[in-house]
Amino acid sequence: MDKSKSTGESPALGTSTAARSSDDWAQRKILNELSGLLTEVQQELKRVRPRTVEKEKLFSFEKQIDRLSHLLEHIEEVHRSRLEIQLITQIASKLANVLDLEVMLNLILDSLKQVVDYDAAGIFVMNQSGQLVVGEVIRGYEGFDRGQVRQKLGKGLMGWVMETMAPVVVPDVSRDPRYVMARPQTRSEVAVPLFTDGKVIGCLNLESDRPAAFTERDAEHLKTFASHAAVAVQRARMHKEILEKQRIDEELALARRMQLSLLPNRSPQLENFAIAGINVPSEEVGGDYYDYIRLTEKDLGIVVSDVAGKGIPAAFIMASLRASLRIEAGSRYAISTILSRVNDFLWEFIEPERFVTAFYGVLDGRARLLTYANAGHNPPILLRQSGRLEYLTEGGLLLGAFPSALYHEYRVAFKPGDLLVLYTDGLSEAENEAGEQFGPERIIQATKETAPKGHRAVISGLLKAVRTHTGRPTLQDDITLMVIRCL
Amino acid sequence: MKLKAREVEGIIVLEVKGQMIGGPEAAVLPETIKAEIDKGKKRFVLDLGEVDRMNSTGLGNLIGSLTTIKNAGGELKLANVAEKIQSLLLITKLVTIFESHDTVDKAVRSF
Repeated sequence: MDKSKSTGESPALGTSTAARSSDDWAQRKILNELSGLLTEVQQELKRVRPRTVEKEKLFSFEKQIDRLSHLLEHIEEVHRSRLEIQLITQIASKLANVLDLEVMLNLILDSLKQVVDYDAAGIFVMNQSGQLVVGEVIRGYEGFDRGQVRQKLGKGLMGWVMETMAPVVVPDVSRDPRYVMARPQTRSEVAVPLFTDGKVIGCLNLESDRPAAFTERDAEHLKTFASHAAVAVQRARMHKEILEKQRIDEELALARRMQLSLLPNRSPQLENFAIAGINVPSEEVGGDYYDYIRLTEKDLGIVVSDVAGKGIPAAFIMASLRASLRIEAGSRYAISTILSRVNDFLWEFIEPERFVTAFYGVLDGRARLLTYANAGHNPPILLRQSGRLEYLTEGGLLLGAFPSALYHEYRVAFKPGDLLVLYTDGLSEAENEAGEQFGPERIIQATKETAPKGHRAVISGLLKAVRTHTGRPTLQDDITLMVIRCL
Repeated sequence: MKLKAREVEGIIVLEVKGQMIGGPEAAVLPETIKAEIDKGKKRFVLDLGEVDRMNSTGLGNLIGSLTTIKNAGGELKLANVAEKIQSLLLITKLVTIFESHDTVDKAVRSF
């Protein structure tokens, strides 16, 4: 009967309701004293050895005391329920704005202690793998920190509660085979499951140093607190997910800015050629890269490249590729040597599953000559003035995946009116709803249709055609295009 | 992407089905290869007959598989490479790196 005996702590919750709480506390103290007094009288009565005549009198006295005791129990329960409503209302109001899970769960355990007393308590939550329940907040487990008190699913009383999804009250832990000891002083225990959306996510567990300290009614009180703990856990998880998404979005925006800042911001001037390029970003950050590298007054390096993968790693590789290619290109080695060196540089640091495809060439404006090597990139399409098509396929292996790759360089002589289209797979592999890729044929068709209107018209014509093909305004992958027309 | 592994005369034949386009399920390929290498297996055939789509991430998985096996002193051969994937291997010049056979049988017998 003295199960809710106060520990002498004053209520910690809510400053606005401090007066009411202190009233409650005073009432509880009186109730506890009354309860203690009654217990003493009951025990005293048991010791009395009455004479026969007084036996009946004593019996009725005992009955009255019992009734009084029941009445007191009832008052206590009413009091507990009222207190519980107050505390739960305060918890619920805090749930809306306290996002720190530890703070919230500690508040729940503090409040709970005023309704159901305990010597040790813990709110346990299932970890991501669903194999363990781990203490989010614990108290009374000497020598353990939160997170250190844990139990495998299916083991112990907590495991039982989570599996059966029902509360359990154990009056004597030493006689319960399910019990796994976490603290030697514990004599009795009560545990209830934590639910969200009908699924068990954890367990609220109380332990007492006294035997039979908890009743079924206590378990009912626990359930109310557990439901609020579950809401707190779920809210904290949702908040964490939102923060995580924000972080990812910010990182992607950074990667995007980094990528864009490394792309050319104007078209180059070169005698006998008109050149334009564009990068159209998709929603995700891709690893497309194109560049113009001024080598001499008449020589211009051109590059169109695609880093496999997306996001920060792709943007990082793209930046490294640009730096390395620009350094090597400036060294005036042969193109084949430049690509070999870039390949080895990339191979040194990028993961085995990543690679880069690149087309690198040097345009000699005066001689109308392109010297190039294609390192595994989609072959640029050369549409001759005569209408003949050529593909610039030769060169060597894609970059960064294998060491010591060899590259070969080739030369193409341009004539006025010839048009070269360089692109990344964001263009050629753009799919329509049927899963059909845009492909080289459609690239050629759109190029032929727009070529008479100039090199910029080819770029806008290709972008329009690919959007018509996919039927979507947004892109699945970055598209990079470079169009070079010989004048 | 789905993966079935079987052993033919000490050679591990990995049959890939579906799309090789990355994503979480793509991890099964390197995991399986690593597990077989840990068991001491060194000769692998990758059957791509049932792969209907491959993008650059899938190609990366292919390269990664080869690198892992080669680093363990083993060999990887491709079998049943569909036309679309063959054209990817041609563009990227990976044809010069991967040994490819028309059938799994031929690939197995080539060791």
